[in-house]
Amino acid sequence: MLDFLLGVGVLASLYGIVAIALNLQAGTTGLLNFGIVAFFGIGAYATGIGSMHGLAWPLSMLIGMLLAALAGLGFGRLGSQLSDVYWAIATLALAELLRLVALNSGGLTRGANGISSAEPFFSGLGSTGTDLAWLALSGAVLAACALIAWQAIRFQFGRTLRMVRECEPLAAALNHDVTGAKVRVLVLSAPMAALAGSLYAHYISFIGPQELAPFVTFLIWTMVVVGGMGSIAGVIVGAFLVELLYGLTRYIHDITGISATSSAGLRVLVVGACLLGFLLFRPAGIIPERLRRIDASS
Amino acid sequence: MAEVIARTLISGSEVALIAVGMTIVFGVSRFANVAQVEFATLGAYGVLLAGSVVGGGIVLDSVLSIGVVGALAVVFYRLLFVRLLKRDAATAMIGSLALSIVIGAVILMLTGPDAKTLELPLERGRDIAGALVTPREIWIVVIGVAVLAALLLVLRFTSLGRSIRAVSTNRDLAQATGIDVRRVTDIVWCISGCLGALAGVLLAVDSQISVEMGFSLLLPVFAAALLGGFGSVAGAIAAAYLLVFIENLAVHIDFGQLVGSTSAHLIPGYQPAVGFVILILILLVRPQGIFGRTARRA
Repeated sequence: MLDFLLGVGVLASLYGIVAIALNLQAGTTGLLNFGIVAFFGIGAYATGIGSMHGLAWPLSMLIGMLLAALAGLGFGRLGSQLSDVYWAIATLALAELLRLVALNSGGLTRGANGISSAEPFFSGLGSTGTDLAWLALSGAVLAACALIAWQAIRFQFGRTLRMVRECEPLAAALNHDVTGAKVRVLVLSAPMAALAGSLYAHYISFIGPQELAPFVTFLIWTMVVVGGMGSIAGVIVGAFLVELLYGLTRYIHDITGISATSSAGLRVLVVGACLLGFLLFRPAGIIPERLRRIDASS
Repeated sequence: MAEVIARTLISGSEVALIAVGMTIVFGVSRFANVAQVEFATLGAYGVLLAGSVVGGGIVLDSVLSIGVVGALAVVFYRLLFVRLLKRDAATAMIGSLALSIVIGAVILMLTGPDAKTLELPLERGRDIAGALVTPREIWIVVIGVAVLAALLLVLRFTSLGRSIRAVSTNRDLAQATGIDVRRVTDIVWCISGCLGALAGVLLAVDSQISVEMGFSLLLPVFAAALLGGFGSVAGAIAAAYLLVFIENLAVHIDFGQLVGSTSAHLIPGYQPAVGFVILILILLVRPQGIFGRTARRA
């Protein structure tokens, strides 16, 4: 039971970091990124490929974050040209492209077999000790990312981003650099997702194309929507709730005795129903974004 | 070359049917429905189900399946998308991603992950101008082209078609001139469900039935709808055939021979990537598509 909760805690923290990154883009800026898993995957594969070639792990991690920032820059430049729906499609295509490359470049990524040589952390501490140390590490990184995100959008930059979200032409008309704001928020958030991916590769000691599937993007979206778009505290709560729910559904198979494939479908179904339910009945999420009221009449 | 053209006509028809469904729904509902491709999956599994329940032969089973999926599309629209669209197109798009994952999960739960095939008699291929095609494949092309042509004629020359075009062009104005906008929207969703399901049936006859069959077509379909200019039916059809042609050509061309070195082919696993790359290039160069008018942000 403890091990289960610790495992959920670590995964929730790691995905929570990605959710914070997505929240900066989608929640605060209104950028519909349907390919957030690409940034996560860049970090994870940088760590995996680096470990295959004997690179020190901090270096691989850093390279991953840099590459993700570059990808964020590219995504952002693309965002300057396109309206939101088209950009959403483009991000989905880019993420799928990355997954195809991971699947088909056997020499670089070992294809469908994936890479399992990422150095495990805290391996001398025993099973529970390792998980506790991981929870501390991932929790600390989550807290740091939350702090960075919070600091970034507290002041003028955050107000610009929200104006882009609410009414892009207005932001442009008021002489805000809309493209620049989008690029900056992507370059800020992409390395967070890459860091989470890199830690994930170390935690699981495995990275394969399956980890880049659209389902991961969908899971992160569910966390953001359930928690509350635009609300950092909400997104963290959402990450833990959704990951707990997703973790618990693993036991449906043991309790009810339905077949393994049925329960795999059921697990996905539960998360999907969760997302649809929140979109329909509580679109602001569990902890809605709180905006300071400005008394315009005085 | 004849082989490339034959494959283009076959899979192009399938992609075109789904892309047209996506594009007419975009016309009346103003969002890109990710779940559109799942209508194909539903249609294919529908034939399988009808085969075991009704067993009226492939034609009757297909008609039943297509009809049910058409009705289902209207149900999805009424129960889900009407509410999501009240917020905005972005919410509807997230919801459609969720719906497509949920549909996949339900099918996985009910039937398991193994690919299935329809029990059809084996056919001997015939050599037509150098391409080996079976009579069944000829039927696929004939049905696909006939349905697409019929749809174009209906849109062009009937009063229903005029109403659909009016609602797509300007919803409020259409309403003001006395068109029953709700009914027209329902009909368009129904048509898009039927077209998707038909594509699924053709795919099932052509190859096999799997949970991912729809989702794997998402990017070519998006690319076709985009290249055609969202909302333009003729554009989507032309773009679908063009894209599939380029995809097939890309894996058939011997790039080594072109530059005069040893034989070098594109890995077949990268075939879908060709579509993505074209998609991203289109988005960069001409986001409104070849036939469309506006897509760039204001």
